[in-house]
Amino acid sequence: MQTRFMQSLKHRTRQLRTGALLVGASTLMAGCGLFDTNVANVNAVTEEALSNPTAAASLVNGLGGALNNAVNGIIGVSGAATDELGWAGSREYWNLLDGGDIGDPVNEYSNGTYPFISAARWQGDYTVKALEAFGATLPNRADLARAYIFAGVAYLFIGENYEDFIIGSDRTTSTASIGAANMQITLDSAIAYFSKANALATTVANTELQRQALGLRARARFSKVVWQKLRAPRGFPAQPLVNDAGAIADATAALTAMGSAGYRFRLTSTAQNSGGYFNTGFEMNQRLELRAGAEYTNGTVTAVDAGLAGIRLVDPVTSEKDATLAVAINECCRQSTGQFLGYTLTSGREMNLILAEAALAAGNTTEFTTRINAARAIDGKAAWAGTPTAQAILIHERRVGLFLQGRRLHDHYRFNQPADKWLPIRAATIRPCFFPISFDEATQNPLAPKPAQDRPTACVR
Amino acid sequence: MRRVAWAGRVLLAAGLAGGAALWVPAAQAQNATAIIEGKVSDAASTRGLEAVSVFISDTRLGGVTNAQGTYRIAGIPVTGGSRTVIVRVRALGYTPASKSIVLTGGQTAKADFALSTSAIQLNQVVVTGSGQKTETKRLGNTVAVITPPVNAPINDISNLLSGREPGLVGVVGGGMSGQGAQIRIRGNSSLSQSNEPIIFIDGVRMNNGASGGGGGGGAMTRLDDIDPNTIERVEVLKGAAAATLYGTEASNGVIQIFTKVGSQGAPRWTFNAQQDAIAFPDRVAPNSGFARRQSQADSLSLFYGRTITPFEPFTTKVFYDNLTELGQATTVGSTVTGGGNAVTYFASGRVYSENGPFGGSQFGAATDEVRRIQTSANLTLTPFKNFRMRFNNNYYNIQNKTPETNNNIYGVNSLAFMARPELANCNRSTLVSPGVCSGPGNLFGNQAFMTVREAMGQLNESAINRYLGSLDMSYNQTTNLTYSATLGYDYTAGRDIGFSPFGYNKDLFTSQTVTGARSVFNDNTRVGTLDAKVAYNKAIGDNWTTSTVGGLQVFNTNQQTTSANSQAFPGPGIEVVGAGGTAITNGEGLLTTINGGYFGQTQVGFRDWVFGTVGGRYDFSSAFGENAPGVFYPKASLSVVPSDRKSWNSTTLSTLRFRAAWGQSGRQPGAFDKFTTFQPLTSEFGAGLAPQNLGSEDLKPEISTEIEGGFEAGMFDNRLALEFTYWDRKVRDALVSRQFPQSGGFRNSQLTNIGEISANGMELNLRVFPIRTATSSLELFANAAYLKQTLTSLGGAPPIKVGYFRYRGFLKEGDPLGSIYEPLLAGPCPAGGPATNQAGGRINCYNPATQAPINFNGRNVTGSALAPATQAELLAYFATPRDLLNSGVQSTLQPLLADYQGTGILLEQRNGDVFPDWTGSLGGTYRFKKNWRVQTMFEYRTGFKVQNLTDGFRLSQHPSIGSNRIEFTNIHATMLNPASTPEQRLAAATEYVTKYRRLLEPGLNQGQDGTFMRLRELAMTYDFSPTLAGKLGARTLSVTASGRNLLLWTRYPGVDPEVNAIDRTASTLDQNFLASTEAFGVPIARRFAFAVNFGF
Repeated sequence: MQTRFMQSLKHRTRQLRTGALLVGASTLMAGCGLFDTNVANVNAVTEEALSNPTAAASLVNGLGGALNNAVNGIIGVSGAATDELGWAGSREYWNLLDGGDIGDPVNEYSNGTYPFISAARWQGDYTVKALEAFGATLPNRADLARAYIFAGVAYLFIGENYEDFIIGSDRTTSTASIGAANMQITLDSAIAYFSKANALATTVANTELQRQALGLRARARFSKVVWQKLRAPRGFPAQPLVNDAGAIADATAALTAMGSAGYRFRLTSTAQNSGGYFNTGFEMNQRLELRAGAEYTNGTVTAVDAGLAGIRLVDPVTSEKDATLAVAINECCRQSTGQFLGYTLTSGREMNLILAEAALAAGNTTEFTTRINAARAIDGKAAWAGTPTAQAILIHERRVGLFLQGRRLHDHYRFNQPADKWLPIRAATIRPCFFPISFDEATQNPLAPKPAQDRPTACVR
Repeated sequence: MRRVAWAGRVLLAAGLAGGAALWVPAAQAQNATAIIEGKVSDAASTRGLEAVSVFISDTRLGGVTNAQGTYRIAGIPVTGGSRTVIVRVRALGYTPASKSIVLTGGQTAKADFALSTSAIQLNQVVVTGSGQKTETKRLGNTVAVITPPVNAPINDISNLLSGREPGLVGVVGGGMSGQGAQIRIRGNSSLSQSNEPIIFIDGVRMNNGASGGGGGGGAMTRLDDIDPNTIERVEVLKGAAAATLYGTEASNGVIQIFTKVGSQGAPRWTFNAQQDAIAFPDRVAPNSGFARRQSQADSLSLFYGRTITPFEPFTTKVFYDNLTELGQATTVGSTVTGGGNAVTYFASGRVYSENGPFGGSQFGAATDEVRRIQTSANLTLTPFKNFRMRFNNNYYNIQNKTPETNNNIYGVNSLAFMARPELANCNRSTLVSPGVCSGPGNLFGNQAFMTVREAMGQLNESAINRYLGSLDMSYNQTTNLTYSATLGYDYTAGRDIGFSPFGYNKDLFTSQTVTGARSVFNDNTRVGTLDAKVAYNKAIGDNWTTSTVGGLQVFNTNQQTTSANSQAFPGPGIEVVGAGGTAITNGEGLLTTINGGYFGQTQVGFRDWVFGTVGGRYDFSSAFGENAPGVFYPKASLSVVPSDRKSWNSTTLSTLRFRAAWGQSGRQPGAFDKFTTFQPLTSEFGAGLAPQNLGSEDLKPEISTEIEGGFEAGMFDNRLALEFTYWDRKVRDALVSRQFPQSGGFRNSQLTNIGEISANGMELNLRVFPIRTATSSLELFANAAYLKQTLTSLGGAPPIKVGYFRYRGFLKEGDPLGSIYEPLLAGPCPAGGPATNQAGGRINCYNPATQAPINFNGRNVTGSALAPATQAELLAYFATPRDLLNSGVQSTLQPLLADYQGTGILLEQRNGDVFPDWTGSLGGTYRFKKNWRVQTMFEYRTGFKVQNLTDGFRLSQHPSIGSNRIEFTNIHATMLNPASTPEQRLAAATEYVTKYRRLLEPGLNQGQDGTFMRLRELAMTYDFSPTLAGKLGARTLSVTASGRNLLLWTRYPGVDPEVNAIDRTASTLDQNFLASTEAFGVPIARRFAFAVNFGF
């Protein structure tokens, strides 16, 4: 009996040991870290990592990338809304832009571009603040100058292209829009950033950054006057020409710094950074939603008809196909060009055009002639000698010389020359208007102005 | 110890567990033994039943019948000369049976069983969600069991699951070969996270991802990698109440696949050979067009070889006549099983090769093909009577080729759908014969993007190599105490390739990457599983039983992806990314997630007819960081089976059970969603960083709480069974992908626990055996599931737009999930006053006698006076021909919209939702003349809208593509024809605005009733008698002729109400809420198959 009891006891002991071992094994595995939930994210960095001054260059480069995305988008919607680009594809919102539906907040392209320019704006302020905070620990002060320039460009494009905008929001915090009547403050911000960039570039003796800062400040000051002409009060100005002392000074200084009328400061898309909601180069040259406008080219232009072949717009001086436009079309709009385009932000040509316009406004024909011909000479075009009119040649040179740089909408308005595809119904009732705060932002931001629900009223008188 | 690698931990665990097992001493010597053997057969047909479980009650002794239905249980201990045991038999689809047998030591006893088919299966044993083997009658929740119908036309798991169980729906991506389905169980329990159920195979968590599709081709689902011939059964847990023990991630249900295991006996082989013929139904409307002038008509007459007259629409079947063929598929498969007392084995191999019904090979190399090589082998070892090990090994090699398809401007089918016949020409070469050019041309009239022939030059290919293996161990320490553990590893190496060869632009039409482009995406995903548990079952006296189980589960998922893309090859013949000269990109992603939890459950039974269960799970996840506390998910259920009371003797109501269950489970956010992060953004200036995640420290799982109740009733000796379930689910702390103002700098939305979803539904299942004789039987079934889902709260977040702009899905607080919002046309004014909306506000309307529902020149804007177009001004406008493709005309003829719902948002009037209210199936199996069997299944869905974007283009005024269905072409031609009268043009314009005006007001006329019924399966099988089969050298032999998706009944006017442009590779939000979106997909193909199955 005792033996059986002992056997039973031993058996149970073995069973308990087995069970204990298995339970122990489980516990050990848990202890070893099977539930070690600390996994690393090597695909991105946390914000803490940006507090190190060595991150400065990465922040500025990222800002440059964000800006490139935004500018790429704005150039596309702006081009479609003007006569620069025409729609030929499947997406009807390009068509609506083509027809002049500029103020429609529901338009997927202007709606889709808005978050990218907003992100660039926010990232510009964020980066400048971060780099300024690094103070003396900043490894390369030119990075801060670059940050000023990129941040300024974001404000510049907002001021030139938007009816109204929201500036103060930060991450999860919403703020109200600054109001259509106050939009010039975005250009003031741009000017302030470019001024800081110029000062710092001078300090660190970075000539290239100086050129960029001066040229962009000239553009910003010019655009601020245009803004006043078109929106304060709202309408097509009787006197469309800009003659601003600050712009003249900056343009003159910039031209000197640039050293050549052919100088350009461009953003260039890359495969890694080819736009935001859409890529204008892809839309034009691969998807073929958009093509160069019907007044500029003979429809589809390909590598076969490089150069002047395929160009429709003629130079009013020579009545020959415009060589400046041919260069621009070669760069942007031939199907062989591919999808990664460059966008000129400032140039020697533009400085000359600013100075020419100011001279024309001031009645200084000699200076006008010098400046306009300096711009024409870049592409070897014959000098203007009085025919057509000075204003006509100025409009033409701006049209071809600043092609696809986001200026055409201003010129349609201030010279009261509607785009060819604006629907008569819209052209008849349109007033100078610009891209709206997006429908998405209006939905997300309780303080944002709410758009009308019918088709756009923003552009109707 | 935290640094111990995962693999090391697994090995450690395996070693410890294995060591423990080997350490256990051999079973103690037994006294005299006896044997029981016999046959289990179908009572009606007397045919032996294979794979039936026979066991001796209150012991671990048992066996499985062989192909003839015989079994043998040896080594039954007999002490004291004799012993009485109870032998029980359980077979799927039959009423359980038992016999009391007196055994004498050293002798063999006989016990035969004749089982009656049963429409109700309360004694079925399941394991999913209960931690151990449990009869379904003991569970308060439903566990659906799907067994593959014998010889049904099932080629993949998506086929197997769809329509078998109420509440489980397969949403297919399209009709191209290899396109898989999304699986939804009881709708959507998450707004932002995946709503796919989690899937296990033999206890191992499997990678349930998808591949392909990214380049524009069709997408496969990993579920379809599994060989359907290896599946014994599938258990489905439908919701949180049933899936609590799986914790986080289980709120959308759990599917567990059980593969076949070996059975004792000599090797038994089966061979299966099947040949399918596959064809697209002719559901794509012909393309139509018309000539605008005589010269164009003359050219077209020459091109088409028939007379074409100006302004008289003509049609061509571009898709059906040129891009379809009779596809074919071949299946060859074999299995073998056998073994002895200590070792059994099962192995299978299958090769499935399909060249689908997509044709057009005369135009280019694009094709739809799928090839699956699927092998499985498992070995079950029983070295001791109380210890069992099972090794499972599965290897899959899958290849899939598809053309560019679905919503894709470079899609072959979309370009065929969009072509305008009047634009066809051979302008760049000469016309050889009607419709044939000597060289470049535009054979079908594409106006934009590329020609059909060029699209056929683009290739998409996916390849999968996958190993899925597991080691499953079970140790019965005592009759009451069982330890078990499963270690699993699922490794998938996927490769997706998109390729356009140099110079594929044969028609010199397209400018899209004409010098070639290639993209390669590699995805290596590893899923490791550790599941260990201990179960203790004990009877307490005569009345009470307890079953307790506890354990842990850990899942480690590691995904490594690399990608490379380039364009512009130096010349033809080069097919590697490295050769591309432009648009060169590469990328890499690394993601590890670890989920795990401890679980426990206790069940108390009273007299074998009342069962109560309580349990819970405590979960951890890497999504919340190492310091985050776990989450506890509780459950409770009750099952009462009055018909199992000894006093129950009703044969009319032979079985009755009531059940109720309550439980929670969850869904976690992504691995790093809680952190504020900056992501790489490289630009021309160098490597950079840009904002990515906003981050939220407070992030936690969303919790799904579900209650379900219902009953099962078996009547007339269980010849009729009715099952009913009502369920109600609340998801609190729902993860909302909230978009904060984009002016705040972060473009990406951020997950926040602010939402609430409520849902409820019913499931009905009816099964009846009206005929059950020796030579024939008839089994009929019908099931239905009702689903209602409401987004109760978005926590103050703004509505969320779902999908691309043209899709009209939004998530709006208070509205049904999946709602679509579209503009609605104003209606006739009511007599005696203006029209008003639901809020009592005045809305647009028109007087049909004098006006049309046209907002002439867009003059009506919010707040302005209401002035629909008058017929007089329209007649004046139509005094001259008008071209509907002209923007100016479109702008003039704007539709008059009405704010019926008083929301103030004209463009967003709720117009139904994309999830069917009712889904279900019906059908049956009829056996007659002993050897014949006919099986059929119809599947239906109703109460939902399909967003018909295909016809958004084809039936509308789009200037550059589409506008080519005859209904629209007639209108277009009438309005443009100089011979038309103003009245005719006005009538055409009115029809246009009321029916065919689309796209310009996003969603107008886009949502259409998707109700359908489909003859999903039809199969006829002849089973050769054993005698006849034997004469042919086989043990078993059958032949089957079958069809799949043979017929479709629907009022839906588009291609197919079931196809969905949103497949498994779309964004999670799109997958969740854009079901039923038809955008240029091809219809689901019909299949006809002939199969021969034999065994020896």
